[in-house]
Amino acid sequence: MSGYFSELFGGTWSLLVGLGITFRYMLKPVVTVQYPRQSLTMTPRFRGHIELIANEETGAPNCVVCGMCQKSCPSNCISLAGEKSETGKGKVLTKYILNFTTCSLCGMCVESCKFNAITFSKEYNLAGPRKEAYIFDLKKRLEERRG
Amino acid sequence: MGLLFEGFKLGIASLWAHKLRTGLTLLGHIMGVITVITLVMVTHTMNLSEIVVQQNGNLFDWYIFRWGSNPLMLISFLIFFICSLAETNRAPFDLGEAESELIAGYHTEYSGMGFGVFFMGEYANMVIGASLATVLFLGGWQSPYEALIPDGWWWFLAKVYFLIFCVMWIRWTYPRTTIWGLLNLSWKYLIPISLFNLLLTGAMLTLF
Repeated sequence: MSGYFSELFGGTWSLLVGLGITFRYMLKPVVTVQYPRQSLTMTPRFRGHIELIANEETGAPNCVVCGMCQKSCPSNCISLAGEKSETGKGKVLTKYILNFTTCSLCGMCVESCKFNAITFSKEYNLAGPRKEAYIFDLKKRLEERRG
Repeated sequence: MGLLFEGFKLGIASLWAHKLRTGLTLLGHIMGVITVITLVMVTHTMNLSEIVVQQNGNLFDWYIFRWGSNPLMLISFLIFFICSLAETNRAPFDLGEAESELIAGYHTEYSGMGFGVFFMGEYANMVIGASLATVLFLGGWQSPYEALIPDGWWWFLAKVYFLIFCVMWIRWTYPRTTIWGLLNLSWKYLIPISLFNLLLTGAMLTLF
């Protein structure tokens, strides 16, 4: 009997507080993103698979085929090849294959590149029909991106 | 009663026990009736139109605000509202529907139109409860401020919609009560309070 009224009033008050909370939520804007029709932008540090960076004027990749990314990758995802440049200074990239099926997004390749040639992309909604769709040809992707 | 018949038809012993429990809950809803009796004592009539006409005037003539007749009118209204929620198995009191989620309730065997008819019945029940509450307590079709927007059926609809909004608001706020919680609430709180209310109204009517 002693707690009867305190329980009654305390309980009623807590019920009203609850109603107030849900009412305020009702008035807040909706945060749902209607996914395929609208999409989210990823944050700046988001790690998608790596992509090549191209020189602004020439459009050629910055990569000098030093092979540091290939050596530093713990899963052996990267394989690249180059040929001697026409100007005689350094190498020019001919193929850059990323095997994304084994990539763990550790970032050792990006960290080890001293030529600002690779960076993380913002791709998050990859879907493919077979495993081969995830062996990325980064040079071809760069050309598609540059349009 | 319909629930009792269904339980019997399904013929499973555990469901019959469940029906008895539901029946006990329903008995606990008498306090809703007691609240209405209290109001009828004040209005001296059971004619719903007359009850609405008696609430003519301004906002403070609505029965919910007539604290001269009975200081606990607000509580009366709340009790009536809670009972109509419990009666329609709505919001925090929807134990019967919950058991169908566990494939043991009375909804399970019905599908398609049968289920649809059940749900329409439930919603109609909700609308009736809200309508009754607005007629008895909230002034039916009376406007709170006559000169601004005149009386009419639109006020009635507005009030019914407001009450139904409150029912939905309660549904999305509170978790489901247990059967113990529900019976506790009804027998230990709602019934004593509504009986006290009845006695208080009688006393006030005799004294004033």
